Amino acid sequence: MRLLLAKIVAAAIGAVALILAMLFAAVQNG
Amino acid sequence: MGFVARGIFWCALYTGVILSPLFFLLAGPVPAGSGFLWDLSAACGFIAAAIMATMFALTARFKRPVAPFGIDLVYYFHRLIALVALFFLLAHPLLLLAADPRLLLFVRPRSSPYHLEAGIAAFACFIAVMLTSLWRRRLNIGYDTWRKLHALLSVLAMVLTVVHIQGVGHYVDTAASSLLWSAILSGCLVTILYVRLFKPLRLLARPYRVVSIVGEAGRAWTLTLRPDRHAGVSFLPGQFAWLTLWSSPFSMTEHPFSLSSSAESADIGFTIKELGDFTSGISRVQPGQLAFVDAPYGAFSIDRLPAPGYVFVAGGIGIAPLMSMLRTMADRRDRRPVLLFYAYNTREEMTFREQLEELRGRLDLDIVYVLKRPPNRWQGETGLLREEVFRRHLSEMHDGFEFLVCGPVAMIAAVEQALHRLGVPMRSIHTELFELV
Repeated sequence: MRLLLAKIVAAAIGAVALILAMLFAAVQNG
Repeated sequence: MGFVARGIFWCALYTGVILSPLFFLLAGPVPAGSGFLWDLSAACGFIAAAIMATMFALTARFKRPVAPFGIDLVYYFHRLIALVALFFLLAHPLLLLAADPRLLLFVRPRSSPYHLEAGIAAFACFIAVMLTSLWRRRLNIGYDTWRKLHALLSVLAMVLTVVHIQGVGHYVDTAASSLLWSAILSGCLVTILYVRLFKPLRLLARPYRVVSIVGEAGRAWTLTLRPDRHAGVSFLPGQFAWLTLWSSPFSMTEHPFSLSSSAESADIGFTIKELGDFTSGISRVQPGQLAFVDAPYGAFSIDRLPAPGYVFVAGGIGIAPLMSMLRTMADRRDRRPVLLFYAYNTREEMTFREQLEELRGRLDLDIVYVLKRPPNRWQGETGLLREEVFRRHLSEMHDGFEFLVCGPVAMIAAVEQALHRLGVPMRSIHTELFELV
């Protein structure tokens, strides 16, 4: 359970970071 | 604030730090874009650098942020988030090359811009950190050597990353971004100073002396330590500590072990199995010898899990923290029922078998021994800790009990699944990882 939660948190952080990175690139380039 | 609320707070803060470079870029004034792939690459690079910077805090063993999770889980998360960092780190140059393949022409030894060489060197250091960690045993690297190499390469990777970011200069030449990266780097520096200077100094001022070293069954040794002119440390039964023997706390040769003694005793005891470089020399410890203890750590404790009773599951030397809990319950005259499943290879190798039998008289304790290689005429359970074993011994009486499982990672995973299939709620199953690295 704890290991699964850790995996979910790590994956969620990665996903949010990727979305923000793409958002930044999109905003910068109209 | 409860452990759950505190856990959410620290997770949110951690996520905020990693995403902060992107928040600043999105919110603040930034130069014009350079193309979608180019800017995506830059953003990926910033994320990778921010994750790398937080690695120092994750492994610094700050007691307050670590408390809601347990240090074993934080170390496990450290490994997971390193893989996330690797993804962004790989994406950074690949996206650049996708945007403009001619960039490869700049990569020439000794004639590339210094910041590009720093970036490539940082990348190589990070990959080396990953490979030596994932394949430490396969590469036959000793734990102490690995720890020093890990620290050195990590610091080098971070320094080279900063040189790379500053050298490129893009998106960090605004006041807000400069301030943010200064804060992140200051955080890294303070963490390193805390781990390598302040914490060892504090440990040096609170030494322990070895009182006794006693051989146990199963090639294990119980080491009892007494605080040397200080009050010692109070811990919860089941927690663990980093132990330094034969050297000073500055030497980076500390090793994590579960405390196996009662939390009600002033002396502290570790039960250590001879498994690796450090542990195979444990029998040479002499009474009176100096030791240093960084404790307590871990969330694996009955004191954090109030319940009408407990089911303990131990594999091999995973019995050590559970023994601490049983001894503490005995000292507290705690008569809540405990059912212990204890798996080992043979009855002769079983650590603490006699002490456990003695504890039966002081506790409401039932024990189910599970032997891989049972002796002739053995009437008890055999083989592995399978679902059928639990089904035969668990009943409605154990509803509402908390389940504490400790042992090798593969055993923990199998036991978790078996218990869950029998209807034990996942929230009632608590585990302790022994293999931190």
